[in-house]
Amino acid sequence: MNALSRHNSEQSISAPQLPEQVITEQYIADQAILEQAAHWFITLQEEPNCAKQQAALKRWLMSEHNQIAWQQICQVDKLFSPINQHIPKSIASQTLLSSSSNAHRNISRRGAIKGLFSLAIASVFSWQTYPLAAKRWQYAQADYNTAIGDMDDYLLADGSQLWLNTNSAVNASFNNSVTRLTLLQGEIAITTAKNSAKSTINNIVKDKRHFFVESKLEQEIVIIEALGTEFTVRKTAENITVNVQSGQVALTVSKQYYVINQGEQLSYNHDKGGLLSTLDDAVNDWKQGKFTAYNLPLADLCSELSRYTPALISVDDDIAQLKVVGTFPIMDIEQSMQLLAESLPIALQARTKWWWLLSAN
Amino acid sequence: MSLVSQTQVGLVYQQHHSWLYNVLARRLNDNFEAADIAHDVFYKLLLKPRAFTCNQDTRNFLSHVAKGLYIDKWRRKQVEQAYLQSLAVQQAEHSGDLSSHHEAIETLYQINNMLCQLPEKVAHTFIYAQLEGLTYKEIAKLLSVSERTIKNYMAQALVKLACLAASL
Repeated sequence: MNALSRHNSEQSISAPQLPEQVITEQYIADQAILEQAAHWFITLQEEPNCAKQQAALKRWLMSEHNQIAWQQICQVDKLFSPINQHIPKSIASQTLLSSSSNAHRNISRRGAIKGLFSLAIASVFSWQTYPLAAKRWQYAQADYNTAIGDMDDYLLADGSQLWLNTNSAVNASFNNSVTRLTLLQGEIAITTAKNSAKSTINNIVKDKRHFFVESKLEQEIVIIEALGTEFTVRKTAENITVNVQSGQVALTVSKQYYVINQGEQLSYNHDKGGLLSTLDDAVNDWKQGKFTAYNLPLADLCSELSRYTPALISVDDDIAQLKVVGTFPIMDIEQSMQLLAESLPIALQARTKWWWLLSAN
Repeated sequence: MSLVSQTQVGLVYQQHHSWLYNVLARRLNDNFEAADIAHDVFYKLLLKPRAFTCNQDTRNFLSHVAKGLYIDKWRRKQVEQAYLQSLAVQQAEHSGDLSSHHEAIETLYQINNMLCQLPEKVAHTFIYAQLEGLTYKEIAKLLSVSERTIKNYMAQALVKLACLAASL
């Protein structure tokens, strides 16, 4: 007992390095009891106020061996106390969830098996297993970008207006006759400057400026050319969708060429190609900070709303297909959730700041 | 193993440093990092000198240490990127100075090293329960396994981490 508490008081989270494999013989002997202690810990966490369980635990703690094990289990919390002191919990948990996931451990497995040659593989892998983070980082460095739940609008150097919806990133380049935006992720709306207007670049009057939006869908480059116009472009993992509110837009991808007229929407996907449909009037509502659902299944609505929040919104299967009609404030997910709960026969639970749970009433 | 003096480490340095540096530079494709790691390898050896049976033995040892150092660096970078990413995603109001970020990354790196000794789902269960404060039922739903399994994961995590804590 004494030896143990001395051990614990010496423990320090900032020890430079943790041994790879650490179960010493002394502790292997205690494994079974440690497991029991762990189960007690779990039981108590679940029912902290149950007098019966507490009494049972007290009885179990009569044995000194059990006491040692119990103390050791309770020490685990201490390992994490530096987090509580310095780092916002949500940041800590997100960082740890991400860096403890299998995708980010590959190197150690490879490294353990192979010789120095694994260094070569490893240095390649450090980028290849990490495309998501590399991308996110790239987005954060983009010329224009918004975080989840944010929107922004800009007047571009050529006089065009650019809106960024939630979680979007765009690079921009200008020269005398061409404006080129690269949509890295998310959704943008554009109102191009009138062609007759003076170009503000170098004060040269241009009859016609070209305005392009480029984006990459998997490996395909999609080029969208505005022909004097107001339009939106949205990129998801599989689709590029262009909505044209006024004027005309041309979209080129691989060897295909599409013209999208006012009041039309084109959704392009590698497998299905381009699909033209009539423009939904509400498609641009996000610029006003709202989302309008008309007979939209609840699950689809929630996946749309979840674009605007880092929180997880889960919908029980038995209510997923409920049809929803209404307008929701996308900048205030809490209010949107309340609205849903009030207008539908559903129960809303907020589990931590990061999880909304919708279930049948 | 016989006692080895620092002079002998100096000899090892003379004979093998440029070999190690060259191998690393070629493998990592980064001269600065190679120089860094090679330096750290010999620094480690200097702190804890040891004898070698032959040149091959020396080189095996040096590359083994280099690999360990490289993995450490790589892991730290992973944590750093994940941290910056969550700051960006959450648009954190946590806008502390540079040193507090550095400290946070260091802390998270240490903790991640421990969590990485657990299977992924076990580690995630632990994070959800202890940091996010989710109930076991909720975690079960999130990870699509039974509540019973979650409790087993949790017990597994507690036991392993308790052993780690005791051995620190």
